[in-house]
Amino acid sequence: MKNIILLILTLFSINLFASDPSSYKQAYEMESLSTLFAIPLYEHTLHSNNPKNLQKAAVSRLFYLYKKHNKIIEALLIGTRFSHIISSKEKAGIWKTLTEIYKPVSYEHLTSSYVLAVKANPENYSEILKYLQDRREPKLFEFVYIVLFKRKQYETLNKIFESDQTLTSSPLYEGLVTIKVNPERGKEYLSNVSTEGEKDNATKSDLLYLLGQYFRAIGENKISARYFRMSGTFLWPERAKIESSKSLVLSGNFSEACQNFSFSSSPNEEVAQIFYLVCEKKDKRFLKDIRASLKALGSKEGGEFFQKVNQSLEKWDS
Amino acid sequence: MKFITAILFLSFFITGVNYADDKLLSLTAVDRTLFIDDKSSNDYFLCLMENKKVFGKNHAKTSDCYSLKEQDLRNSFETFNADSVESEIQLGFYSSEGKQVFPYWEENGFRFSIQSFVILPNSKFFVQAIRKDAKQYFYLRTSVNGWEISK
Repeated sequence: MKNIILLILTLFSINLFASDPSSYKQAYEMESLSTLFAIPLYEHTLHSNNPKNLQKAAVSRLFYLYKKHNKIIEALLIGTRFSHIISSKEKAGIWKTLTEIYKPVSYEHLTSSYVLAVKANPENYSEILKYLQDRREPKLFEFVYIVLFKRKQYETLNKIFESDQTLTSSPLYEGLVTIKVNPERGKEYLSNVSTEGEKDNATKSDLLYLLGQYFRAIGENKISARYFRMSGTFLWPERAKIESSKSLVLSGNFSEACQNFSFSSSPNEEVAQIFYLVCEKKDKRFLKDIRASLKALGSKEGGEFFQKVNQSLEKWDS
Repeated sequence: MKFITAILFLSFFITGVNYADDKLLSLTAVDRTLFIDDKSSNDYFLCLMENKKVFGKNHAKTSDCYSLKEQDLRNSFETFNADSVESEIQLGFYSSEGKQVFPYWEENGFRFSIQSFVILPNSKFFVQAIRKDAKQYFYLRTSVNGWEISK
């Protein structure tokens, strides 16, 4: 039975390759090397103008890979966008996982807020705002924030915060969005938050992390690396290490990232995995083989880090 | 850790400057004496660094060094600071043989090793330090005043 399914899949794939050898095929082949780095190639396939059967295959593979690599919100969003391709049973599985993650928020509240969050935009956000204001559940807010952030609805989030700053007690959420939308206003926001009362270590870490984000946004990557690193002095050293290292790469100091920090394998996270492959494993061959994925990642929003990685790898090769 | 946190975050609000990083952390209000454990050299130098590494482990630009015996730290800092820097510069400590040393100050029983002083184009003055026992890193706004080398 297994062999028959495999044969059907192979025949199906051969048929697909014939219609777009440069895109889907590349992603499909990458899967045998790295399922994590196949994701950006399938995403690329999805954005290209491909025949319907190819789109369908790419969506199915992406949904499976998102789940495999714990990218649950991405799986949820693609399941919504291509609801005719992803089965109800598959989608129910995602909601089951989300209900576990966002406990004690109920399934009903999660699904209702999601429906409002996926249709929200800068002109139409009053419903999701009211929903959040009526519930006032920190975990529910976190869920909606992540959905909107993954949808790149920064302006919508900005307007939500302008309407109500009491939806969350952490400065992280508003700070990140404000810096994204307007870095100088982000700095003003940070300046105001910094003067408000005593801070616990989590907030200090978040404020320094946001300073790192601000300096990255204005292209001061060395300063950014320092603030990110210091954020780990107070809490969340792993986040600090990865972001500081990213800023070092962006400032052209890849080798310093490897000298200052050690990296373990991160099978579900592209940035951390790249540092592991470059700094610890020094696996030139593998890095060369995933070059197309790095290029695809570099073409996405915020892809400057991957572009720099690619440039460094080219120098490494020569 | 609690004390350090308190020190850093009690005194970090500088009024009148509308920048988040100015308000976050500062050492300006406190005098600090630096110690050098390395005894291999008769004299040590504050030098301009090659600006290769962000976190301050760099070779010295030996043409831009000031003897710690002959000139106090503040004057040396001001000499560098007076030069209008067009991009970030870092200053560090070196032996006569050019070996980088990391002076430390002590605070509440903890040692903070200086990696480098950083001067930004707008004359902002920072210090990078590491509390080695806890592997904690600090990048703190400071001023040219208040730093001295233990003789």
